[in-house]
Amino acid sequence: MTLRRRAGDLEAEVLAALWSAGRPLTPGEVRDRLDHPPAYTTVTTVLVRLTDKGIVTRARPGRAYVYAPALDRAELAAARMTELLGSHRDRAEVLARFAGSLSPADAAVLSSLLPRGSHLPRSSRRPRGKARPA
Amino acid sequence: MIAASTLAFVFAALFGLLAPPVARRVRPSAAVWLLTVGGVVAGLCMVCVLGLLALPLVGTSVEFAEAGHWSVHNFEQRDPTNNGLAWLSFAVLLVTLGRIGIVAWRHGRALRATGRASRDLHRLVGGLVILPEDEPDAYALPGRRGCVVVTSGLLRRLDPAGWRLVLAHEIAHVHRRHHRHLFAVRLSMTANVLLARLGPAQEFCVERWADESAAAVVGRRVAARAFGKAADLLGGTAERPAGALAVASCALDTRAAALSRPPLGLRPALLLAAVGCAVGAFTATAVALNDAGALFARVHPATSHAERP
Repeated sequence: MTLRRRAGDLEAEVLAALWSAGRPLTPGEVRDRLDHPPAYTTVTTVLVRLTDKGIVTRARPGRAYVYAPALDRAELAAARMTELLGSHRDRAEVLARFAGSLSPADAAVLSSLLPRGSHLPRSSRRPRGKARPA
Repeated sequence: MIAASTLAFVFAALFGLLAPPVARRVRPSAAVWLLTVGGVVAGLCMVCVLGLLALPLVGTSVEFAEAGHWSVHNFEQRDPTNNGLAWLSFAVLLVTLGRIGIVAWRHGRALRATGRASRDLHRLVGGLVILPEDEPDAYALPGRRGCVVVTSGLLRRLDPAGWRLVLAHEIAHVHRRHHRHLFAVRLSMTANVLLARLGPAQEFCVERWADESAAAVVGRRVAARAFGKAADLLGGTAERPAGALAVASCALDTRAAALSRPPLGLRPALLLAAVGCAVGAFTATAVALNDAGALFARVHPATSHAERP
């Protein structure tokens, strides 16, 4: 079984851990949320690197540093994506989605059958809320 | 020329018919390359054949004959195709080239836009973009340095094994430049309606390739377990009304089943059968093109006189 991480994969996983938590985490808490956790110092290094890039913010409410995703950059990125997808219909076509793309006819059938507010990719954009427990 | 053209057409059509089922039975990476290269060859052959069948319009036109110094009379005597077929081929050729142009232009414009967006996103947040949105969604943004985009809503609902699976899947799309394979097949589908079945097969095989890459990263057993949850969230199966998305849900089921089995082998015999069709189409087209060249050489008045007994 190959469990080797490629360069950048750990950064991605650490970010995923921070985002899914919905609250600032200490390096130890981040480590606990990872699959096949690396060394504590490795996690700290990754967090410091992400902080230097401005993707993650650091605070020290108590004894230990806690890290949280920098929301302003994420929101800028979200705005850029909305701009991309909103401008032309065919731009959404070139994105390779995990579950494949819905044909416009399928999407239309689906949205007519679903109650308002159900999960349907890109059919309705809810106001962005802070993370709430799933 | 007519015989070779017909043969090229038959081989290309046979590839369109044979390649999709073959692709679903061989290793996904090989299947994707088969559909891309074979599809482009078959599509080009179809366009060439249409052009060849329309050649009598050029051969019997007085203006062209004067410019090329051949005799219309000789051409009419030697060329066995009829004019009705030539006009029909010419019309189909024009429509086909127009459609290819439109598809290429629209797709190219979309790819340039996503390329610019992915460059901007790289500057802002790097190669992984996590959108602060509640809807579960994940996709690969093509570009020179592509991006992987996921929503925080998806991450919150998945466990670490699920994150790794989804991220590795999308990273595979970006690294392997899957959008180019999809684009190539899209163009060959546009070149001829008989290749229409290549498109859905390519979409499926590209997803399977990314699934297999992800399975290599997280481990096959973990991947098979995590896939169901991810597919549920991203395919929206929970709210899906019965029958509304039968094709998409069937593809997700097939992909889940494929991950729970050992990986598919290369199956050289199957691959060779499909490759043989593409090679056959290519060869027949080359022969037809050669025949056409020879025909124009022969209808030259000087040569015709020399040939006469």
